[in-house]
Amino acid sequence: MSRYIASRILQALGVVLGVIVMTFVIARLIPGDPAIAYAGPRASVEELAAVREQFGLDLPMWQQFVSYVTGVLHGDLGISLHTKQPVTSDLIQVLPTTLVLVGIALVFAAIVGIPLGIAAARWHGTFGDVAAKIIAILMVSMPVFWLAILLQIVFFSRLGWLPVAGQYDSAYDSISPLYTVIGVPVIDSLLTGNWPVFVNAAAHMILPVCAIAAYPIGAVAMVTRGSLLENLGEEHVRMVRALGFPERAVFGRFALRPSLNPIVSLIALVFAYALTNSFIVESVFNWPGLGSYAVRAFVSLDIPAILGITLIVALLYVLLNLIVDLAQAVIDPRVRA
Amino acid sequence: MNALLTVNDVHLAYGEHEVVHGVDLHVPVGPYGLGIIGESGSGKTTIARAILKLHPVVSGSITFAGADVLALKGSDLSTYRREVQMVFQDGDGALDPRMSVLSSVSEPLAIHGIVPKSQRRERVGDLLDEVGLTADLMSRFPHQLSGGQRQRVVLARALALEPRLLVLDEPTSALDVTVQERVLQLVERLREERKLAYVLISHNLAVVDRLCESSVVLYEGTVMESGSTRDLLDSPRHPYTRALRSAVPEIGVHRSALTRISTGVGTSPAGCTYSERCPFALDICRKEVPALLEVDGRQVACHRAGEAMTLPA
Amino acid sequence: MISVRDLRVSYGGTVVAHVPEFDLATGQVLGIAGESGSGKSQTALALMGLTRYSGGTVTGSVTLDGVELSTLSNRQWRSVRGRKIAMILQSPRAALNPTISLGTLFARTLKLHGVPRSERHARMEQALDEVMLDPQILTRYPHEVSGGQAQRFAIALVAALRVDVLIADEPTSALDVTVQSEVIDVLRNLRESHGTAIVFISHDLAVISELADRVMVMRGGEVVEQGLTEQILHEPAEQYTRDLVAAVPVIGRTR
Repeated sequence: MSRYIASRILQALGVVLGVIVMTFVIARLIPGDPAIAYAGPRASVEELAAVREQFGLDLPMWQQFVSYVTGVLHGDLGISLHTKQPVTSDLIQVLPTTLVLVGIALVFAAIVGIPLGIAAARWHGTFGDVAAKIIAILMVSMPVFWLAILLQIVFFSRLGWLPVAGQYDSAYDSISPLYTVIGVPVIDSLLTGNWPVFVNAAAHMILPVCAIAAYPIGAVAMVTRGSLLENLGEEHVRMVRALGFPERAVFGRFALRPSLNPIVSLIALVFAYALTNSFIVESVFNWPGLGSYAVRAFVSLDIPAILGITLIVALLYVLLNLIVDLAQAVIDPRVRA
Repeated sequence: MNALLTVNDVHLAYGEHEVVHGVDLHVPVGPYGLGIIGESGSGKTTIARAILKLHPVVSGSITFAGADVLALKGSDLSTYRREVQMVFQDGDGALDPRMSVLSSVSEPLAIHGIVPKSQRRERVGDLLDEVGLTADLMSRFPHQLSGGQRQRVVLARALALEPRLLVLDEPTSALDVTVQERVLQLVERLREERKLAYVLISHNLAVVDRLCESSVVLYEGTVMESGSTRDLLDSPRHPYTRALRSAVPEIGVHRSALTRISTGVGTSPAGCTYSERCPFALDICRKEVPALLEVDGRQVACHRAGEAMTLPA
Repeated sequence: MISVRDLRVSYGGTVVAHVPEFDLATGQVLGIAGESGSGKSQTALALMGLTRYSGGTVTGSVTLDGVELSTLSNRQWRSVRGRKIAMILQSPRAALNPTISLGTLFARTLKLHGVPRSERHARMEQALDEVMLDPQILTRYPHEVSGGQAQRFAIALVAALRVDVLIADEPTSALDVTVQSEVIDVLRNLRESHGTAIVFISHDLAVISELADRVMVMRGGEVVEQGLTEQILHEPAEQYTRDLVAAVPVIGRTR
């Protein structure tokens, strides 16, 4: 088992290294002059030269690469050209918001998607199965920006049940001031026992989470259904039925666990999709997370920030895959062999 | 003896784990049959694949018609692949379900380019006729054929390239008993008509007895006994061969397990791999690997080969 | 103990197995012999009430100890399966859930059938002893044991449940020949010590002949012939039966 863990970690590191090299190469290939992006289109030649020197943009490529890699390994990702702050501190500031959003959306997706898939398998061949499949396919097909705006129209404009945007009502700042712990209002209010703000922040989270969770719910449901149906045809399920176990145990205890593997793998894949979807959702709902930061970075050709964002997303993805691999080894003893 | 295939002290492994420990095989020019008798875990299929160059050889050599098989490259390798063909166990899995019988059987002809396109259909017809199938089956697909018919198609395909050596891996195991007989008769006929040499892998002693002049008994990657099939089956000298022989289900014969039953837990012995299950095992058997020695007209790897061993009542 | 009358198994209107009649008493073994498509496995599933899970229907009568099985509801079946009647399958390792250990499966099954916790371990050990398996095997997973060990484990499970009837569907077909007789011995033991009646299904007449008192030959869904083993093997009335007997490979016969 420990050999399995060690080899997975080594592979993960290999991927990260590859990403670092690739991001550097790609960033240098993007047309446009970062010095102008930083100093502005009206900068003088001397100002541009000074900027180039400051950021080492006039050095030979291999030297830039070496200083980049050494910097990364020390946690220094350079200075963001559009915020003028170190990229690392920018990321530390925006990451928690996005992680909370995507994290809760994935949990929500599992809570809704897996039972939906189980129900479809249970009612296989009947109308219930067809209905479940239609719901799942709808979820997967809806474009996220369309869904986000639609949610706003329905739940804010028409029904007035939920807030349209933002993380919480700033009115609460005077009524019940919020202390910052990690920079995410819904978590901070929970940690500091600030209930009025917590309820409000939670309400503000519902629509964005739903928008991001739609695709994962559909995907998880379909994979759960498929995997479960496949396992239900296996000999070992026939055996436990023959031993006298009731159908719910056959489904729940005996058929479900071997079916989990593909579902767990899917979550890692779906995470990447959800993360990129959050870029759009954050823009629509005006949440100051990685997504908004990334959009601004792309628009202003902020190379250091773009590299930093790419690196962080890759790291997150690798980390999640590692966790998923370890989870699979725990769930299915055949993987450990 | 005019040697067609010689396998010399071959060691095969899966990654770090060695599964075949120094096996020798000799197949003379046909008509001839060499049987490899073994159960699951014996390494028989791995050896078959190694002969076909489908599995890497850790050490040892394989020689075919005087040439070093392991060193073959390019057009020589291509020739080798024509001369040595494999018939797989699972006729179901050996045929591409999306290819008609005609496509499957003419595929090797197309790949090796030995028959021009215009003549392929006729050649396939001849081959099908040779294996006892009618030409109207050419347009059928595997799922439209019975198990026995599929196995014949696999044979026809293997014969398409006029091989000198066939490797048959459990050719009848997946077939119904009443069908097995006809497939065996077919193999016998092909052997005589084409002067074929073959290596027949099977756990079924009756099949090996019928089709193979000499045999090799494998247990967990090591040769336990080898010699003429008749000698081996009529008067087995190795305890494992004896166990195999007495384990064959025969009508009216009460079988006894001439092996110590495995309790599911235990360690691999340093000596003879069979010592764990052998009812005649002594201390030396567990410590020292027995050499393959000539006893009573065949080769046996057993410390007690010369003795007459009987089980206590 | 178990009586079958005019049993018919159908899928979508086509009858795939038809068994007019048989009876089996305590400690007796009935062998059902046939090739692929004979309907023997379908008969096995029908006896366990499992046909409905593959979408088929069963008509006719199957009585076990006076209870009519063919009309039982799913719920009622649960107190019959694993208690009065049990089944072992052809591929022993595939028949065991790959994600739980053998011990967990064993314990849960005993718990399901009301064996109190204090008694469970003792029963498991005793059953494993009967099939000559070391109790340590309970910590293993299906992929970590051999086919023969897995099959003996399945028999141990059934033995511990103390069922009256065991349906064995090709239990030795997927096993190595030197291991087959171990399993046959264990089944013989089950019948002798516990009086379990066994329905032994196989394509191999020679294997059936080792254990069965009576044999039923099936072909294409119909029963061709049935009777005492001796009679079927040595004085078969039907040509197909003769063909089956003749097809059993014998060493030295065709030299």
